[in-house]
Amino acid sequence: MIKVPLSWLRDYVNLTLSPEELAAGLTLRGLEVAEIIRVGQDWDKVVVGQVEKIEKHPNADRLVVLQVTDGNEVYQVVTGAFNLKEGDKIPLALPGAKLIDGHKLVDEHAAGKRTEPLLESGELPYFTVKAGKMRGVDSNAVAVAALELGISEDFDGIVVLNSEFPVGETLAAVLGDVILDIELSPNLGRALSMVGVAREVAAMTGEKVYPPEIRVVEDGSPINEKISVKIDDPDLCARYSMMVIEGVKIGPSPDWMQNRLSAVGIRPINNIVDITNYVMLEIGQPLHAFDYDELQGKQIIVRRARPGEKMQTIDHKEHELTPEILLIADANKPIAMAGVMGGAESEVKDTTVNVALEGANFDPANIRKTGRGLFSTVSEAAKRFERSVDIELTVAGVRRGMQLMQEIAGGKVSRGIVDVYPQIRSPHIIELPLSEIPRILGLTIPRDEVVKMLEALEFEIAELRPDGSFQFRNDNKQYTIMVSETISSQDILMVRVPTYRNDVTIKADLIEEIARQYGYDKIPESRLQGELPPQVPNLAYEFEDKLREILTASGLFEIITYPLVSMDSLKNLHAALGESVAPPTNPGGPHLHSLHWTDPAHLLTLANPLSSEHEVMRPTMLGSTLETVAENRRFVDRVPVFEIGRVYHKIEGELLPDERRTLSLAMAGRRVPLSRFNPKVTENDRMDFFDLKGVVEHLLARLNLAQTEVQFEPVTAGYHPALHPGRAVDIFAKAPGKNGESKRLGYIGEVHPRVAEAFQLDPMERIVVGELDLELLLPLVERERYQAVTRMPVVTQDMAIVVGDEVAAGRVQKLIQETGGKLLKQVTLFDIYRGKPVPEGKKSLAFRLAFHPQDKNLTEEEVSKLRQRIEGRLVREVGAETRA
Amino acid sequence: MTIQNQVAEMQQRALGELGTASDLVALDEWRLKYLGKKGELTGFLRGMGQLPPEERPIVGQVVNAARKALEEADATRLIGLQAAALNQRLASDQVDVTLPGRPVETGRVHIITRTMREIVAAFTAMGFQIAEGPEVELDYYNFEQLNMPPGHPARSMHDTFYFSESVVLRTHTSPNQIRVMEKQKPPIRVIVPGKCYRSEATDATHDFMFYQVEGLAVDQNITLADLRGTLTDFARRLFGPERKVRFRNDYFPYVEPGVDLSIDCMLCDGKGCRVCKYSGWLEILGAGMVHPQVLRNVDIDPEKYSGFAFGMGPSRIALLKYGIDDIRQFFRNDLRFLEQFA
Repeated sequence: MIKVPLSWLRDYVNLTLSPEELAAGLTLRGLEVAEIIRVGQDWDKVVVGQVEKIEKHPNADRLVVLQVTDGNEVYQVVTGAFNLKEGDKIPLALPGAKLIDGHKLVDEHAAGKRTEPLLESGELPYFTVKAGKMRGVDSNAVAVAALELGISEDFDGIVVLNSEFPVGETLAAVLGDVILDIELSPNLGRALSMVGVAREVAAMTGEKVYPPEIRVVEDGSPINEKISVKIDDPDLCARYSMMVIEGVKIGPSPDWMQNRLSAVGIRPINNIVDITNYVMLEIGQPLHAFDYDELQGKQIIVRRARPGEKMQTIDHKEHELTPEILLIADANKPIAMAGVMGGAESEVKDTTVNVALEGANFDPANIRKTGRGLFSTVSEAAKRFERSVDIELTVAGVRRGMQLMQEIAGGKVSRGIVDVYPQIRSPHIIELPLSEIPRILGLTIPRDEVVKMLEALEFEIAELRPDGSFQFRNDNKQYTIMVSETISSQDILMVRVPTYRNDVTIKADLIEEIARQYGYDKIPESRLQGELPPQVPNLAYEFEDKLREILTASGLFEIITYPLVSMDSLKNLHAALGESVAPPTNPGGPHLHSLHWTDPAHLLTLANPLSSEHEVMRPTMLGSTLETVAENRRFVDRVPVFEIGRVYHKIEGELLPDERRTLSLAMAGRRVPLSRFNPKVTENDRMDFFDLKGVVEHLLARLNLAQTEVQFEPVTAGYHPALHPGRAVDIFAKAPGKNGESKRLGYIGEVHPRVAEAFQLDPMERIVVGELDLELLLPLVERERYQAVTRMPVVTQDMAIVVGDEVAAGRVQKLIQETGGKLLKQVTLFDIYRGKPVPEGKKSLAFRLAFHPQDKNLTEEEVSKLRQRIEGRLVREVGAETRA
Repeated sequence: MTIQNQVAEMQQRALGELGTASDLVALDEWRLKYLGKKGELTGFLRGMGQLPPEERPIVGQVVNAARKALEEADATRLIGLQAAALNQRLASDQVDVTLPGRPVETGRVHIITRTMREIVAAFTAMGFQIAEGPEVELDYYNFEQLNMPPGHPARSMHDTFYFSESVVLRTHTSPNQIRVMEKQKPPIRVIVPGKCYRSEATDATHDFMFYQVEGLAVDQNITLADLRGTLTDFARRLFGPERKVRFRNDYFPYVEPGVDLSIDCMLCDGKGCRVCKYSGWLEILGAGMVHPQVLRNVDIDPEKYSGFAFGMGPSRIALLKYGIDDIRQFFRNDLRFLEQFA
């Protein structure tokens, strides 16, 4: 982010566009203007006034009475500020003007309701200027402080305006400004200065850039007598330049400079520090000013910190240093953390007389690491170094700083400059075949237009010599290229990159420059041509969609929860363990096994979580699902939900975990919504185990696992501590054949009341949940095959049998199905009855059997034979008695 | 009385009685009485045997004529009575039609899923294939192979969750560009939907988890113009043909040239409002031509091949499309929110 006041930008380039056009143009070029700030548009009825007379307030020692003229009329103004003298020009707010209520801001800050900076502390309070009395004296207007105008945080005195401003002029006309707030991507370090932005504006409008003219009067002692500089670690500091100024007078910097700094959000401190900031904002080179007299040995050493070394930075924090940190040191000790923050001891103070000014070039990655490692906010200097600064700017920066110090703070500038630059970098030269433009951009631009575009961006294009070699201006070297039948020198541009364009190193970078200059908005639109890659289905993705289709049609809502969960949520799943649930004896397979859910050996835990709420990659979706049910149950009376997501399990010896696609399901609350058709909810109207079992049966039936046998088995004791031990099943997929392997696909069951409680759910309510491992399920899905539908009459018969209560209905049903064979298409259990005349300890099960004939009508004889066989088997295997 | 007269008398009587048969049961009785097997009319025929042979045809004709007349009268009466019975049933069936209907309960696909499907469908129609990749990802794929070595300034735009120095939660779906190109050579057209994570504080416009859809097309002769055409088609398909599309320079380390695609704000028609931050434009995706170094990293010759890549956030797109004011709604999973979207 950089704030660019147009009044400042105008120093370096002619502005020929309106602020809106400028903003739109810069945005298209990659400098995204987030906001156009209009300073002064609220300054209605605020004018330039001149103080004619200052008198004591008759009734108050802490007030003065001013006579201020706006050129027509003289206003009597009572104020608490004592910084004015007669003849000063000030902003004068006339009755009706609306100002920021500075007193209220200060009071609210004192009361802890606001933080600094006050102007950015939320909604601002305003007041309207009215004529009135202050301690018995008429006050007909207001002398305005900077805070009240919103231009800086200063509320201690009245703004003193430039003495050349015409009295009576509106303040907006003399101080109003338009500020572009520009967001800069990390490659745009070059635009972190006024000159940098001016270059972009110039390239866009065809105007010329006027960088500041640098003139320093070197009237002091030779620099070599004042300081020596040594770079021990040139990998982290490519260049270091320094000059010294003696005999400066520390004081506030001039208003124009303070105003500019304030406008871009930098707090003025003193003239020397302000100048370092000003030059950084102006041309982009961060500078650091040392109190020369604090430098021991008159020596600067740029080196890595030694283990155990310590220093105090200007924010008065003590830091323990490590050898990854680059330091600026004098003969004895560290004096600054290079490029990040200065040291407290060597900082420029009110008593400083002599200043050594550093302009250096530090390694971006190292600055980034140091800055972000040690400080919560990134300093303005570090922000620039991180994005790489023009290596050629160190000298210009120091000299510009010296010039301003001399002009503003006085003093004598040393003769010459220390400039340590161990490894001179030559500018990048890129060969750009013109054919790259149509190949990458899809448009053709004539050679001379390309040259013009690149030159507008200050790229140099080598001249093509008659012998086919290239030569740049001010450079005797001749460059040749490999020519071939297909490519000649004519087809190539030899481009020299300006040193401030660290971001341009390859052909593609130049192509982007050409696209920016051509105008992204003018790039043509075409459609992809050419061969398509082989079109293959993504089975897993399509499978997920099929599940969604079936489950939503079954009445369930899809949810999406965070895979990052809390340890507490996982522990809650074990709330019943050891109390009413025995710990399992056999831990079983790796997936969906609940005992691993809280075992750190199996969990992936973030090294830097935002909070403990979200720090573990879930090994199960059950916790997230239950939280969603609980949250919804507060507001709605039925919650049927599912989620298709992943669970994560560490794999021994692997960096990345096993991410398994998983289906999570939950149902709770009313089975059917309240309506006049279902006026009363009874126990039977609430969803329970069988609702979800029905959904899962339906789902598995729809998926066509033709050869796989799905088995629902009561859960092994303790295996699922989160579930109701008597109302839960494991779901197995058994491969075809007698010895076919049986895999555990998942489970469904009602939540254990203790677990429900732990998730803030009603322990009396049945909440039924389930999980299916989709990685196992997907490979079982088979192609759907047509089965003949009989057109012959279907024979249905009811069969009631009495079995012992302990006999599982599922087993009976399975026996019937098996024995009935192909003809028995459908077996429906439609009644379960206990009580008279059925003997105690037994139950009657009633089934409807549907026999579908295959190629000829079924005879009664055939059906009764089958029936007898079924009954016979039931008698033998489950001790059934048949009932009439 | 002649038989003829007797038949005529009976016909007269029968028709008279028919008029008093007020319902279908009475009609059945009447039919039995006159037209049934043992009915009066059949009685005449039965008695015909006693007549002289020459009279029989004449009597037969008379009886048949009477039968025809009675049957016609019966049919007419039947239609009348049926209509009356139907009308009565309809009248007694009447309900208060203003009462609400029986509730239908079906679930819903999550709005993010639906938005993802729309995005994915737009690209599969253009021949893009769907791929997926891991969420727990190597730094190598998430950053290094995408031109973001350690210390790269662009990493500061990715607030990253770490498990260890080399393992992260992916901050974008772009690592799949590398994963796809490691396995597959041009022509490539692929889209990769999935969850991504950034370690940033949550508020109405930021969540630490979000979805992205990544796209990648690599072949000979793929240009920035193709990128613009393809993504403009996509934006108009998703947001409507009347949308203006802005194409501007932007920066992502793994593309060059880089692109940002915006549409004019549909909430204010580009005039500027809170949602578009008074700019009139809504950014919907980042894109660019695949960086030559990225191609080189996966052994694809950048001198021969070129391609474009893009990435977009379905959450943001859904937010804009439906005017949702708080991104946290998506994963809060309040059914009252989810049921708003069919």
